[in-house]
Amino acid sequence: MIKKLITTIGHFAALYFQQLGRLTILSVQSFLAIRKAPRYLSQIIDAFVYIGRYSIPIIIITSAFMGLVLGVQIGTQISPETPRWAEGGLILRAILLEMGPVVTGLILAGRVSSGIASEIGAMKVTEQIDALRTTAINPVEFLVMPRLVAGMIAIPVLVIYADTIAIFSGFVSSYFTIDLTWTGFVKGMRHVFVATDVYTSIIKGFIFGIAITLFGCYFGMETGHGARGVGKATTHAVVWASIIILILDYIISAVLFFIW
Amino acid sequence: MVEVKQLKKRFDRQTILDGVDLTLRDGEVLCIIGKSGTGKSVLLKNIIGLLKPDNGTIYIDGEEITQLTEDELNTRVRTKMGMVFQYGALWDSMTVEENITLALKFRNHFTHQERKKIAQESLELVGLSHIAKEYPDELSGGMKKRVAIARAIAMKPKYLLYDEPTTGLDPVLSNIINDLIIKLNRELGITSMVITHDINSVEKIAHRVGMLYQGKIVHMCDAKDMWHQDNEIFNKFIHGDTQLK
Ligand SMILES: Nc1ncnc2c1ncn2[C@@H]1O[C@H](COP(=O)(O)OP(=O)(O)OP(=O)(O)O)[C@@H](O)[C@H]1O
Ligand SMILES: [Mg+2]
Repeated sequence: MIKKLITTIGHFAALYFQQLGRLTILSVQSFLAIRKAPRYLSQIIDAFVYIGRYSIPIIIITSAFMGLVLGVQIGTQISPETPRWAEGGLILRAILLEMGPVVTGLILAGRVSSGIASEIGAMKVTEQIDALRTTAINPVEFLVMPRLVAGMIAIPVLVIYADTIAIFSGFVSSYFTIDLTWTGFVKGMRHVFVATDVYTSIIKGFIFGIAITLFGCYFGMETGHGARGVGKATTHAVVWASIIILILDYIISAVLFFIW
Repeated sequence: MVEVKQLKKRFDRQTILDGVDLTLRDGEVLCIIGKSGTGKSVLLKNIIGLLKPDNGTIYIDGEEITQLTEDELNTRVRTKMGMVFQYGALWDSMTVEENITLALKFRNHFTHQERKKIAQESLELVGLSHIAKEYPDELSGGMKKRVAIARAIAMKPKYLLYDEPTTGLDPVLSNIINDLIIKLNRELGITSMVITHDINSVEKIAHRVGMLYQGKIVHMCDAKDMWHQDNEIFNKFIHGDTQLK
C-alpha cells in the first residue's frame, strides 16, 4: 500500500520533471533561435498581427470594464475624510501595477495561448510538423520563435494600451459615482505618479508575453493523439499560462518592491 | 545508397522494429510491404531522421546518420532526401504554391520568380498545374497526394520515400500515382523507397520488393519474380491469406 503510494508519487514526480525539462529545452532553443529572426520576418509579422492586432477589441472591452468597476469600487470605499481627488491616484496605481498587466495577461492567456496551442497542436497531429522537419525547416525557428518574439513586443504594448483605456474609463466611472472632476482626477494622479509604475506595467507585460506564447507553443508541440489531444493541449496551455501569470505576477511585484 | 543495419526501435513496452536490415540501391524503386501496424512508417521516419533508433545504424551515401543533430540532418540528409507522407501532411494554412516553395525560401537563394517557376514545373510534373492558388482542404485525396509529391520533388531530392502513396485511392488514381513514381524514377533518376500494401502497385513500379514482418525484413526479392518465391510468410501476404498472424 505504502509502496504503491510511493511509486505513484514517484511516477508523477518523474513525469513533472520530464515536462519541466522539455519546457526548459524548448525555451532555450527558442531564445537561441531569435538570432535567426531576420530570416523569419514574415512569420514574425503574421504572429504579431495575430497576437497584437486581433487582440485589440477584446482588450478594449475588458480594460474599459475593469476601469469602470475600479471607479465604482474605490469610489464607494474611500472614507468621507479622504479628499475625493485621491481616487485618481488610487485608480492609476491599481491599474499600472496590477490590474492592467494581470487582467490583460489572463485574457491573452485565454485568447493567445489557446490559439497557438490549438494551431500548433493541429499541425502536430496531422504530421505537418514532421513535414516541416523533412524539408529541413526547423519547427522551433519557424513556429515557436516568431510567436515568442511577437508576444514579447505586442503584449507589453497591449498592456500599456489597456492601462490607458482603463484609466480613462476609471475616470468616467468616478465622475458618475463620486462627481470627481477631470482636474481632480489628474491632481490625484500627479500626486502619486512615479515613472517606475509604468515600467512595472511594461516589465510585467513583457514577461507575461513570454509565458503566454511559450506555454501555447509548448503544449502545442507536445500534443498527443487526435482531436482530443488538441483539445487537451489547448486546455493545458490556458490553465498553465494563467497559473504561471499569477505566480510570476507575485514574484515580479516582490522583486520590484525590493529594487525600487 | 541507403544502408540500414540491425535497426531497432521500441515505444514504451512495444518493440516495433527488431533488427531491420535493408539496402536501397541507387536508381531503383524498392517496395516495402507488410501488414498494417508493423512499423513501416516508423522505418521511414527513422531513415529520414524524424525518429531516433534505439539501436543499429543507417548509412546514407556512406555517412552514418543516427547520431547526427537536427541541424546536421537538415544540411546533410534532408537536402537530398524527401518524404511523401501517408496522409499528405500538406501545410493547410498555405496555398499549394506556398507549400511547394516554402522550403526553397529557407534553403537556397532563389528569387521569388525562380521559386514560382519551380513550383509550376513541379505541379506540371504531377499534372496539376492549374491548382497553384488553392488551399489543401479544397483538394481531393488524390490531388493532395500529388501535391505532396510535387512538394517533395521541388527540392530535387536524390532519394524519395513514399509512405503508402496509393492507399485509399481508386484504381485509376492509383495508376496515375504509379505512373508518376515510375516517371520520376526514370526521368529524374530519383531513387525511391515505397511503402505500400497495394500488391498491384508493387507489380507495376518495383524493381525489388521486401517484406517487413514482426520487426524484421523477412524476405527480399526481385519484383518480377515475386509470384515464384518459396518464403511462406511472403507468399501468404501477397495472396492475402487470412491465416497470416
Ligand atoms: N510516435 C509513436 N509513439 C508510440 N507508438 C508509435 C508511434 N508511432 C508509431 N507507433 C506504434 O508503432 C506501430 C507501428 O506504426 P506504423 O505507423 O509504423 O505502422 P504502419 O506499418 O505504417 O501501419 P499502416 O500500414 O497502418 O500505416 C503502431 O503500433 C503504432 O501504434
Ligand atoms: Mg504507416
